Amino acid sequence: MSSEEQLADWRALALRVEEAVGRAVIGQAPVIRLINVALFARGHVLLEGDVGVGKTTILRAFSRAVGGDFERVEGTVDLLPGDLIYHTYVDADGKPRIEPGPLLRHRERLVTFFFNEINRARPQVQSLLLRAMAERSVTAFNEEYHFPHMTVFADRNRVEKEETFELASAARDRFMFELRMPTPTDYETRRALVFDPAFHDVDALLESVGAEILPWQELNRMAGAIQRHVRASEALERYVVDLWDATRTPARFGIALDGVDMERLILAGASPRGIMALTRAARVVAWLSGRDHLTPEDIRAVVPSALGHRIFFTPVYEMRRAQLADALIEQILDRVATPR
Amino acid sequence: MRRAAVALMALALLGPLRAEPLPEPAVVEQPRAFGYQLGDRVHQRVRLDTPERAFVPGELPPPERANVWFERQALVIEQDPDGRRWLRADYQLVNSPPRLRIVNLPGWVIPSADGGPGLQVPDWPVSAAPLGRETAFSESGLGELRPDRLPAVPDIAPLAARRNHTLLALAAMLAAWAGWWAWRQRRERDTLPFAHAAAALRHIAPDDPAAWQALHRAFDAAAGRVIDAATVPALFERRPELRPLSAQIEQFYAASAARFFAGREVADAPSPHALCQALRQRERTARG
Amino acid sequence: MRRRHVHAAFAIASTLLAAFAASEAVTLHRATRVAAVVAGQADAAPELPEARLMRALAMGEAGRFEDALAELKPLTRTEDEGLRLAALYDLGNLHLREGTRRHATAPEEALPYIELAKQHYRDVLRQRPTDWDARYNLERALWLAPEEEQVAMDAAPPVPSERAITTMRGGKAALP
Repeated sequence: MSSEEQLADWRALALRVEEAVGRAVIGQAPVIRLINVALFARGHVLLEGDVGVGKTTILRAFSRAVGGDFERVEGTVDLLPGDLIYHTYVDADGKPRIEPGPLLRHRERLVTFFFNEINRARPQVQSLLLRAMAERSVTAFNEEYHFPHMTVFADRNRVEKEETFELASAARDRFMFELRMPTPTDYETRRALVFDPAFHDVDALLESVGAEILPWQELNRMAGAIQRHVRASEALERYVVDLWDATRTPARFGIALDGVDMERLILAGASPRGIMALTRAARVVAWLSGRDHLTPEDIRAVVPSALGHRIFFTPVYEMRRAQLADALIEQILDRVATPR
Repeated sequence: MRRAAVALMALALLGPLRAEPLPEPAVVEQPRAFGYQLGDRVHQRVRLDTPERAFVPGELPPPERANVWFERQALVIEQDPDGRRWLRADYQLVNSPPRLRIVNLPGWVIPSADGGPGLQVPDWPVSAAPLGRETAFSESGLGELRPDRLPAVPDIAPLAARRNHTLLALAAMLAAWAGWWAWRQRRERDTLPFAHAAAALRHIAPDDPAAWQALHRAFDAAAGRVIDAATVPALFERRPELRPLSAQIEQFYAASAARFFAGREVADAPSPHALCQALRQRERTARG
Repeated sequence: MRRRHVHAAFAIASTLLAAFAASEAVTLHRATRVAAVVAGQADAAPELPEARLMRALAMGEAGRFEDALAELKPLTRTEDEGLRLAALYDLGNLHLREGTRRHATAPEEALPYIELAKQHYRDVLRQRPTDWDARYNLERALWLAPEEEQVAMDAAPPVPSERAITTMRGGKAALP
């Protein structure tokens, strides 16, 4: 089987995953598409959204469709780094026992790791997670634990500000996407969510999602194949570099925001890692569209999610980040021209 | 200068009725009575409307030699500001007396149209004198004859000046026209994206990527944002006048994407030059 | 829309100016040739009526009465008033000179010429009463052939034709 055919087969599988999740979680097609992209670009995702919009459901649906094990941790102030790694308790015989914690428990079978309310966890916990994300391994019990197929999803609670620890900019940069999961706005979706009994029983709902559509052990290999398969033309490379420049010096591209001194807005533009993540993700988008080359549309499809959380504003404007970041990204997409 | 003289003649006696009614005396404005020379014109006015009668003249005599001195040249009926009608008779002195003497402006009867009595205009004696003597003095101007007349020599200078002024005005007008046209072209290049692109494309070969890029920039400028194949509708929202070209525009974007991003040439790719001209035309028409 | 109107306005204005300039150039060209003709270069533009007049004057001077007459006659019907009056006046002069010339030898032949001269002068004066040259020369003609009132006119109506009352005072020559 040639790699071309394999990629085509995998593309069919990827689309099936999307379709299966889409049946369980309605009204979130863009988010599902981007989670799928992150999955095949082997990137981690920072989720953001109102309480109860179905973040856990969407992740469990993905976990079921992709296969492998699912693990979920709740971020709390008193959570310690060790709590992720081991679990101590007194067994039935009254002897103290130490067992691997949620991170280690599944070993290589860990595919979907959901860290809920990551900003409630202390920075020590966050940094452990970041290391695990970057290296996909942890040393514990004098042993190197690998979980090469793991994808981390972290959720930020935006409602409470007390007793939270905002993610450092370097930490945010480790996530490929920051996805905002909105409450569905169209009438039909909201009506179905509220009145269709199928959406009330989450477990039954998840049962309807086909299990292990993908051979998840192959994910890393296929991700590499996708990256090699999708080409970027000279004009496209130029476009990406221009976008990168625009995140650093937006004024040079004629970008202006109301009431903002553009010269003093940006503390740091997107990092090289961020731009790499952008192209990786865009290649997956191109592959999902059945193309072997990147187009500006592929890039645009992932720019808001891939770059929005990677531009760092000066403190004066950091307070208005949510509003400014969106406007800035929109302006960048509107102003940076291609082909050039 | 005309001295008005009123000649009134009373009909002293009424004779026995005759078939031919007697002419009635007319009120006449006579000309100055003295100082005439050969060639002078003399005007006489006869009042037609009297309190008693609105006189309508019958057939008037044609211009003719009225007597040995005068030629009657015109008979005109005119109205004065008071609404009264007059018959004006123009005479010219066409004979020169050998010395100062009295000559008569001949009297005559103006016939009536209705067969009633005519109007009697009496003789009017005036003095006339010769211009010179029978024997010519010398050649100093009172010679035998005044010289022959040459054709009038037209004054060349003012004619030339007028022609030059008109030519100058014409040149100024043409210059203004050209200037306006150039200014307009320039302003279009500055304000109309496709005019600007068209100017740039003049120096770029159609298969040069720069030609395509120039047209892309024009689309972006026209839409006020970057336009790609997916956002072409945003272009039409801002520039509805371009909508009739949507097929070509979409073809262009498809060919451009193939060329710049897929790395293949499209065989029947549209020429950016031709498309740009078409777009420019629409843009101009829309702007007026 | 507006652009087309401006172009049209410019085009109309330019066309009008061009037409003016052309007509003025034609006028100027003609005037230049007339000036040349009058200055003596009769062959500069032989077709011009002015050239005809100049030719006629030269013929008259050379004693070619009939030729001069033939050249001048058509000019008395021309539209150009100045030229027409000049031709009439010159016709008068031509006839008067001829009459004077014949008067010396055969006075009975002179009268018709003098009468024709008077007629031409009177034609001039009818159209331009202030023409002093015509007045003067008419008077010269009248000295040669005076028109007197008929002595025996007893309340007769004015005679309509001037020729009928023309008399000739015999032997009265105005020769130096």
